[in-house]
Amino acid sequence: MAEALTVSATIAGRGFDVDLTIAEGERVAVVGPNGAGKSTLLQLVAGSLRPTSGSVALGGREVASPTTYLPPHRRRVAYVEQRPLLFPHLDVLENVMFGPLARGVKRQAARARAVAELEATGCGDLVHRRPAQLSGGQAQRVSLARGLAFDPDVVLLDEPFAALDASVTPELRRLLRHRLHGLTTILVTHELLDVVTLADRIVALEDGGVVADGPVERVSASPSTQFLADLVGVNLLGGTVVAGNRLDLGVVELTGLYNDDLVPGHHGRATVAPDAISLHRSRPEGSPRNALRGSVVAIEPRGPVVGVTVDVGQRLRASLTPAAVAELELSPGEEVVAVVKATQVRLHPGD
Amino acid sequence: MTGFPRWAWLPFAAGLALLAVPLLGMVARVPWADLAALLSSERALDALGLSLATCLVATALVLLLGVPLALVLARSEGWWVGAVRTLVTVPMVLPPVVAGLALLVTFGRRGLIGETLSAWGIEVGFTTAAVVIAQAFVALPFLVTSLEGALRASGAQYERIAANLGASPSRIFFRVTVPIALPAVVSGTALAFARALGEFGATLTFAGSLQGVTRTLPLEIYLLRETDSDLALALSLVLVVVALGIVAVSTWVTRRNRG
Repeated sequence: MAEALTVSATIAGRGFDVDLTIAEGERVAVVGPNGAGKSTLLQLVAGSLRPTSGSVALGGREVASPTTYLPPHRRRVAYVEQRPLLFPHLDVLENVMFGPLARGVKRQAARARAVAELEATGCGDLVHRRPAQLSGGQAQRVSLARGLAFDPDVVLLDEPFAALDASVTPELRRLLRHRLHGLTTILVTHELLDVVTLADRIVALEDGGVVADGPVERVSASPSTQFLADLVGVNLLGGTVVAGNRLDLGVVELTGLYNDDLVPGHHGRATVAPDAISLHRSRPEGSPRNALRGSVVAIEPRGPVVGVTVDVGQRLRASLTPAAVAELELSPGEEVVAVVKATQVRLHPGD
Repeated sequence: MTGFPRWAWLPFAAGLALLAVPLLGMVARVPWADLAALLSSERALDALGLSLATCLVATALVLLLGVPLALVLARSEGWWVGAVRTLVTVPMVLPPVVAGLALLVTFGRRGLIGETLSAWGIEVGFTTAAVVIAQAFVALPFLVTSLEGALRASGAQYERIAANLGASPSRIFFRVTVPIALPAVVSGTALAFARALGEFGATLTFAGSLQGVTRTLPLEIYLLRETDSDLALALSLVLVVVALGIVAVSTWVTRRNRG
């Protein structure tokens, strides 16, 4: 695939030093603690910051280096921020038309494009509202429509749900999944669910540099930093969708809660909390639950509980009490069966 | 609990009286019956026309120079910003006669710039142009300080969004910055217009008092106050009405923007 974006740049004074190449259509989640350089990365791509050394290239064209600089308005980069920041003096339709008009699209065409984009984001009935008359969720949808209406080459999302009421985020997340399909995206987030549902690849930043970079499954299966381990928290398993509530993990099928968005034959992901998993020496008799056979890889105390990592084809972490670990006489290499109720397995589309 | 001591009512009443009684006193003396005749006299019409024309031109000039000036000031950082802001504020507190003198020794026939202009055949001192320059000089700071405050408070976030959407800096200025700051522009302009309309000392010093050429309303009122106090009062009434209108417009704009 063609390169959509290459960042190989440092910014002196911020301790920022990042090397990153993103392919066309790739969706990258950027995670990391506050001050890790996530926003700096976005600003570098958008053009509000310039590199001290190195360069930023969009679609193979160098847009910033110590000697060259293409200002933000000459780049095709959408930047959806935490707060919607809709222009207060324009109505919803005019807000969405702003991008196309600024880029030389004729009024009629810009209007048609804006209406289409608003309909695609479920805001078709809001066109003549003023930003002050919108709820937080509606405003963020309009902000997304405004960002996408000028057909950007790269979409930057800076914690797009952070300022929103938790009750509207699932709907908006689903919308983003559909609208961002096929678009090169960088999503800055603190939520594992965003990573799982909206990204193919995860990049972890810490102290201005990349500390982990890879496919979502791989990075979250073996979190290489404390931050990633805390972020992941839950187990993430990848497989092929069999039905709306079933995922084929390769060696065994996993049953979970039904999800409308799952398409059989496509990639799917399951999340399971470590404390929802129980370990047994042998498969419990007559249990309708998911039973995954595997071997113990590691046992490590985590505060009041013990984390037991089991290899079931993919890695699975279970939280057990010290008493349970002693009773099962667990040690690395032992064969165990990990059992989890279907109601504790959440399924998500993976592509 | 009212939030203030009861004795505060006393200075409250005295202060209010100080402001209101002279206005009421003047309104009481206005020759209402002859008002139409007085205001349509040649001297009155000359002064009214001149004031209106010069104030409109001066206000346009203030807008043209003041909006970009305020914007650059609001969006800039550095040691010079404070210095420029002080410089912009000085004409607000400067005695107008000093302002007039400064303009005279700069643009007058022998002045720093006036000498050169004079050599090209351009005379500024004691012309209608001098009236406009004097008015713009004293009025500009009113627009700049109020607009700069508003622009600084609203921040550059919408400009940043607009740039990311593809708007050039000029497009951002006309389509985002100015429309969003419109209430501040309107109330700043109203203030500047009022200041220009009331301008007296600088005009008299720099432009003189020639009927129909440089004798604006305040100058005419000053000259008439003893010879024809009826006309002076009639013209003063016009200024009071305009002042009330300007205050009304600027309060309305501010309130509408808030609500």
